Amino acid sequence: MIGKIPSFRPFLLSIICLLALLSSKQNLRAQELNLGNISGSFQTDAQWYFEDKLISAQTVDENIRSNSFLQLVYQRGDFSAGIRYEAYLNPLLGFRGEYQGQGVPYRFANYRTDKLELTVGNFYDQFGSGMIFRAYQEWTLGIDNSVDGVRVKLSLLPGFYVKALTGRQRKFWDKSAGLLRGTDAEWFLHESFPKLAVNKWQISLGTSFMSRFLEDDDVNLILPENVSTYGARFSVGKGKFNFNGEYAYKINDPINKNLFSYNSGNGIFFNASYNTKGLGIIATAKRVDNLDFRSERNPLVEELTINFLPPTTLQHLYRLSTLYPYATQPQGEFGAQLDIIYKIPKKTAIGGKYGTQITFNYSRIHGLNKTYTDSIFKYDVEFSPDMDNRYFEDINLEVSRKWSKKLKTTFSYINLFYNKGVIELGDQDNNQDSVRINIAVLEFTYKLKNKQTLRGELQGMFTNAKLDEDQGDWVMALLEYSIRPNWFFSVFDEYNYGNPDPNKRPHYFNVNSAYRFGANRVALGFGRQRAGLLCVGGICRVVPASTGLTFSMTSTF
Amino acid sequence: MQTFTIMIKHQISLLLTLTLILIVAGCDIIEEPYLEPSLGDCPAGYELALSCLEDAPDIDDPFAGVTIEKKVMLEEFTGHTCGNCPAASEIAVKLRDETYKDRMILVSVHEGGLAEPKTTGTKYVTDYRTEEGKDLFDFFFPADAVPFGLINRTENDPDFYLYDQFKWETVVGEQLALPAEAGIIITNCYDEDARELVTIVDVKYLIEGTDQEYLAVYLIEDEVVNWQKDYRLSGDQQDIPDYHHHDIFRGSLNGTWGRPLSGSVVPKDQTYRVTFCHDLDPEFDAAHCKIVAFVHNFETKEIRQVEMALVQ
Repeated sequence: MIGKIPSFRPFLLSIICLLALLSSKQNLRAQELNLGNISGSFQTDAQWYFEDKLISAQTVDENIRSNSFLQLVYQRGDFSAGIRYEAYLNPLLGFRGEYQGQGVPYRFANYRTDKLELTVGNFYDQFGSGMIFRAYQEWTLGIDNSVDGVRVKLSLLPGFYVKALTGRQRKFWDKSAGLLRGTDAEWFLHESFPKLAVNKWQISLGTSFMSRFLEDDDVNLILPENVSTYGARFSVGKGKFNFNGEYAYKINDPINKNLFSYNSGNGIFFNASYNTKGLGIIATAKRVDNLDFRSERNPLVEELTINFLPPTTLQHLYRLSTLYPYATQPQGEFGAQLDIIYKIPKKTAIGGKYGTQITFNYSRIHGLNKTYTDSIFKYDVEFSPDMDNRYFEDINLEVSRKWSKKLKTTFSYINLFYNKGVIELGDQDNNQDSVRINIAVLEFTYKLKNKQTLRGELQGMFTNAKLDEDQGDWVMALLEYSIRPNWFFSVFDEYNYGNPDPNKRPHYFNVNSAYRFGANRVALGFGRQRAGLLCVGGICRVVPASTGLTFSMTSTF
Repeated sequence: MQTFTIMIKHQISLLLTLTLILIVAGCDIIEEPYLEPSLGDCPAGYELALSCLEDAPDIDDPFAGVTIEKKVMLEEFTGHTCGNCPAASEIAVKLRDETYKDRMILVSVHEGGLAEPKTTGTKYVTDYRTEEGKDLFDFFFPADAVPFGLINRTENDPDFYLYDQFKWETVVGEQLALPAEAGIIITNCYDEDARELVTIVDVKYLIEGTDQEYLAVYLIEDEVVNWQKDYRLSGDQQDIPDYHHHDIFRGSLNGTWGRPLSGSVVPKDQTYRVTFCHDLDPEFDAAHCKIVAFVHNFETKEIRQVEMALVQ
């Protein structure tokens, strides 16, 4: 399907009018021979799929599919304009089928000075931590909820920033039915009052408002057409300490995700940190209740999100540890996280010649205790967490040590509690289908001669799961060889040796290579991709198992 | 410094004013009741509709005390000059009246070449066809051939929905053996003098539906006496002048496929109420008119539940 591609004629006319109106100075510049410059980037990811019954990997009729992007930005003085061409021919497995097609869903014109910024067309933005508004792109998850509309940013006084926007969010090749209107103001007191900065104080206050208009098209329910979220935030920092927080409130917003509840929603987020040489401590806490804010009432997956709830769990990077990621539960959760990084000084008995870094992280998420009383449309909720309903827990320790100029090792131990019923099935009262997981990882990096590096990983994951659908224990080994800055080769194998079903104990074998030249990178790989949840920042999507040949290329210019 | 402070105050005042305007304009806080008044397409304050709402079940829990059982709709496609159709109709009526009784609801759709009215003479001049019937025929029939039947609009073969009359009893029985996916209650209120009909339909889903759940409400008329051809008879007797046509499809109150129950996924145990106001055609005998309401998945066309109630 070819998407609804906006006509470029009115767009270009708008740019010309904007330029003409903005300033006579700009017009004078237009007479010069400075034609500005164009920058851009290109990316393509393609896969040739093979049927693989052992891991239930499906093939596709067209054999090969690809996702490609080309972004071009024209810049001249204070003015910039750009487009992004996208082609899903057809979308890679795991990406939503609605993306199928090609076109230019993203285009913008922007004028920016010290005190003013105007944007028409598509834009990304965020208010505060994102609990009220965040328009962003995350291609790993297939998310692009950019706003197509108008945005104005003003900074008429030092340290005082105001922005206002209106528009509709991208919905694959279409736009959302809901119309957004929002404002945000942020006051950096240390910029307005330089004495604060001199005394190493950093203080800011902010407030945000976002409203969505969406027609009431339900014959049965009286639905609010104008739904707003608003809130305030602060940040105080002095020297090594920083403390920030945000509170958001949403009025009644019955949507699919909250089972058409007429409860209001709210969220509160605090973050405190202490940083000094060799030691960093970060403590985070968050409570959200009914804070899923979307441009439409129907979406059930990741599309059309207006806000973003900052995660309070660590995003693991080792492959096996990504098998059980946590997905933020906007309908209700209470979580806390503690992160400590300590570097044992070098040239000490324990720290060794080059020092040793220890990282400890603990996070825990619980549900909220909700009680439906007289109506299916309203519930009572306690502020405190429901201690009998644990969603997720992560205890992990990482010790990283450089033994010599050539050798560095990292040992990680991760202990997870994973409530499968809540995280994968979305059943917030499901406290039965839980898994306890232990993961150990040993990583080494060894520098060879002539810019060559060898890196290896050994991973083991052991679960206590009694669930039929759980895959049980895994081991994994990886070896990478790179020649900076051009060549990269890797080979790894994940082995699900502990699968309760002896017929489902495959090896997920992969070989990959990449070649970098200038600002370009070409990669080729072959192997199996396991099915599961893929999460970035607490937002997840389901990826299917696949086997095939992958090709990717990125280029910037 | 003083000027700066004044400017800051000015900026904050401006921002607060702007935010206040947006908050007031951008918030619709809904208090109970959350359900629509359920007057549907009826005029506001329409007395018959308001009094009918009083006769309808309690909107907070319309299915309290109601045992929901699976029902099945047989849509028999027929025509008055179709000589093979009376034999099929007899099977349909037997299933309705004897085999499955009120658990099978019959709708006889007159459509196709053999349902066309004659333009000369006195026989077969009545036109029972409807726009909605043509839509159904166009969608479900690969060829102009009757009699055939749809049973809950389930597929007989991939992309083929029709069953001949010899399979009706078996397939209806199979469908009835399945668990009920929804419940429907119909409340009809009829003003005989004005020939105005108010129909209130309550629906409850027993399963989680999709975002393609539609409610359709049809009007049928039973015991219409008129010409019908029957090949089982011989010679001139094949043209029967006083044949009793059963449950003739007279049209829909809300379109061929009905309307979406909701703009979104229908949750399990969710109830819906929709109200219709309708003027009964003076040609129809209200005493024999019935309302048939059914919910179906618009994408698959499969009917989840059906219910019928007399107009009077």
